[in-house]
Amino acid sequence: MSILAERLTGFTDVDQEELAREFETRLVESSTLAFRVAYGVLRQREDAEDVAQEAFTKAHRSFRHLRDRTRFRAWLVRMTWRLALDRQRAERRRLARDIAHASETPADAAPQDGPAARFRAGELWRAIDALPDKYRVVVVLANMEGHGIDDVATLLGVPPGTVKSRLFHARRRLKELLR
Amino acid sequence: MTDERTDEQMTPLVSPTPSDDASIDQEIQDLLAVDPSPEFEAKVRTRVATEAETSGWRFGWLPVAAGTAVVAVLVLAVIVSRPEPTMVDASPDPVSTAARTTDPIPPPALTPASPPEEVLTTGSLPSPQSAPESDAPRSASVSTVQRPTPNELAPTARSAPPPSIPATLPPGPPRFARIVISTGEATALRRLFAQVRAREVTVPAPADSPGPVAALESPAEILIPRLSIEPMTLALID
Repeated sequence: MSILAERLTGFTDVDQEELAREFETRLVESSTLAFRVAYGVLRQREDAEDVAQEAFTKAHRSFRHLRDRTRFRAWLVRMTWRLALDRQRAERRRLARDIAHASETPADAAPQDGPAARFRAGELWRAIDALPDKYRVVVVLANMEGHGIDDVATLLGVPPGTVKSRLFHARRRLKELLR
Repeated sequence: MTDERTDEQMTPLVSPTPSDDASIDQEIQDLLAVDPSPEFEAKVRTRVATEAETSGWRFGWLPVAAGTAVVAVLVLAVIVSRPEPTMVDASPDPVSTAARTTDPIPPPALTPASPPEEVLTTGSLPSPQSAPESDAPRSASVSTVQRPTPNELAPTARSAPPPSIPATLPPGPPRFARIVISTGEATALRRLFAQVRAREVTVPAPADSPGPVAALESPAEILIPRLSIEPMTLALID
């Protein structure tokens, strides 16, 4: 029965062990990235962790096709971003007032931050939320983990020129919104 | 990273009008510099393991489902490809056809003087090796039928129409129901009917049969007493 199952699923025990090791490596090196991508949308630690867990679970299901590190990270970032947007839209319908309040005062602001810092952080988040999705994801990815233009292009699967153009427009919009 | 920030580091964030891209980027980087909780990776491992168990259970049923599907397909194929049972009506001379037709069937040659090639008893066809070949006279209780030679049967077989089953019943008198019977038995019965009809074979009566219908005895005279009816009286009614 196990041989038949292996033939049907295409997995052997050796493959399973190797896949498990590789997935563990990807998890360690990409967990913060996935969490921060989700946090860039949700700005709630618990929600961001939940979305990142869901993204890793989906990645594990398709990990046989995502064994390449670069491909895995790109797939994980895009999946996490989509899941976070879905979660945010669902939460907005249910907690419209609370979300509006949270955008002014981030729940995860450091306790030592003063009122002025929290106010400024709220302004920034509000400006980022006002960006179109294609600008928003570029701004978030370009400002985490030291990503450069090429890194963001690889993660999003778009040409570097497209990333550069979107980043330029996004910064201009942010300046306008923060003025 | 977030915990490492101090009020001094956050001072640039309160600048009312950040003009350059670098300052905005720095502010956003500070906002996004949030690490997950220490148990985040453990939660992910637990969730993935739970998902894998569910997935394994699902894959465990896959061979069973595939085998069931294959068996179902095979059974269906056998049912579909199974031929329908042949009917005697399609045989050269079925009994049903002989029984309902008025055409006389030419009886096979019966040669009591000459010894029969084979003797058929009780309708079963013995093997040629076991068939008695003595010239002794047959007992009256045994029907002796000479099996016609293939040359004698050939014209009948050739004259028989090709087997065909009409899709619809032709108009006319009601037809008998078709009888599913083996060809050999049908031939023997047809031959027996023809010989009995021609009074060439005497069919003995069963031992427990009442025999020929006895003449009915004249019924004895039945005496019926005369009935007398008397009118009722009013006194009896009261």
